[in-house]
Amino acid sequence: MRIEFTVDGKYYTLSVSSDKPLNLLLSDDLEIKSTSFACSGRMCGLCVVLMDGKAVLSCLVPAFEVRGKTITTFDGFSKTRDYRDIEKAYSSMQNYPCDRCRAARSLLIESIVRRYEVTGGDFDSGEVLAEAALIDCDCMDSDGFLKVVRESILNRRKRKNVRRA
Amino acid sequence: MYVELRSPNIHEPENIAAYNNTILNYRDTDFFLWAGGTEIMSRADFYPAVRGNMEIISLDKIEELHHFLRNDRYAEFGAMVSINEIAQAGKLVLPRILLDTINSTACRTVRERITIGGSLCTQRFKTSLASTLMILDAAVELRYMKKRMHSKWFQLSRIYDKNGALSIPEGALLSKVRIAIQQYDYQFFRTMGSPVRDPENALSMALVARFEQNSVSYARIIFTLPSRGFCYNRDLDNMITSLHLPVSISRYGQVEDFVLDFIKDNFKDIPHLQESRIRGAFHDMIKDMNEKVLSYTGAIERQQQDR
Repeated sequence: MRIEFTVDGKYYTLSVSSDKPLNLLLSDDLEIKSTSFACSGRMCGLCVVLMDGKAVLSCLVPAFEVRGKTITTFDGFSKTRDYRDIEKAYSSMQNYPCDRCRAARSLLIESIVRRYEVTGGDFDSGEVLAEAALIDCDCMDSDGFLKVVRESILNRRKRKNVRRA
Repeated sequence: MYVELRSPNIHEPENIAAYNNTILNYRDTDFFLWAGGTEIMSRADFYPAVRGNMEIISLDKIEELHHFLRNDRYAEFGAMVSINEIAQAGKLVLPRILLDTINSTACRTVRERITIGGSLCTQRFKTSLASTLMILDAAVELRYMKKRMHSKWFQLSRIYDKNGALSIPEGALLSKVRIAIQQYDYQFFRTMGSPVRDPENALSMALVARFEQNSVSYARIIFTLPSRGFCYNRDLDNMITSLHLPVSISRYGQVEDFVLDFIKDNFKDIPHLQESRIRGAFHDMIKDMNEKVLSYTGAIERQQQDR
């Protein structure tokens, strides 16, 4: 099946099996190594990417669903100013994720930050903690994750009118 | 070349009429219906697929399946409405137990991809959403092929057999779910463990009840053991309905033993952890019920003393 989609700002046309999971598509066909492909849909949460700005588990997205979509992986995201907001939050809270989950956690935080940026609603700690449980890694406790997310939202609000990745 | 040969064909009908045509054309082939895909993609053997020449009918673009409507008596959702949208749209009207069940189903990132139709038709494990909808007397519309296309409403409990396996005509489409808008005096939902990561040990329990003074006048209880099925029976309901509140310790022991024996009779060899979770959830429920009744009677007594 022929699919056309954008990954980290680059437009690709690939001929792949229509049921191939997105994480395998990124690692095998595009050689993007920041996305994990270890769990095969068991929801370890380490394969998070942004699809049209929203976090998704790439192991649960088949190739035929990414046609015409915009995918952001950590490789591309880590070069943007949006990532600086999150990186600054890590450093000001003195709470860093491990190398194994850094990519997924940062993209998940970015998705949460964008959600609050768009809706401007009240911060729902319960919902954010439930999101934290998505990533199966013990390097950051839930309280620390909550603080990093709050700080990232504050950093983003301070730096408004900035072009998105 | 190899990839092209094994790649399943994707069909994306844009309305029910186009879906009917697709089914008519491919009814004799190996096809499956694709809703959100969260359960299908989490199967260990999904990719690379052992079977070749599969036909995947994606339901995502069928407009009718994304609609929802509400009136005074019920809310009706198309099968492709995500459970996150249901929680947001029905926040003020749907029974609280249903919202609790949805909120306990994964995190928002995953919930946005889980559709209500898909979660009722999972093959590998049973979801707590299906069991909660069952005790809420939800009804579903099925479209199935029998010489021509039929559509018919069924009680949700009728599309599962006694062990919780899906028993609908092959290739049938669950197109709508109707949920009655009613509240109960008491609603309790508890889930333990993940049905995806550890279906063997996970458990969920849901109960709705109505009280009359200090006794339970109506109750429906259901246990979900994701890898085995549902445990839902009139005998269990009657056992809870006969309770006088607060439940004494001796009576509690009797009821708990009855419930456990009943579940063990239905599902042989329950793991120890799952058994402990059943006991824990049931204990929490009885304790919560007792607290609610005691605080209620305490408040009434205080009112009477004040007068």
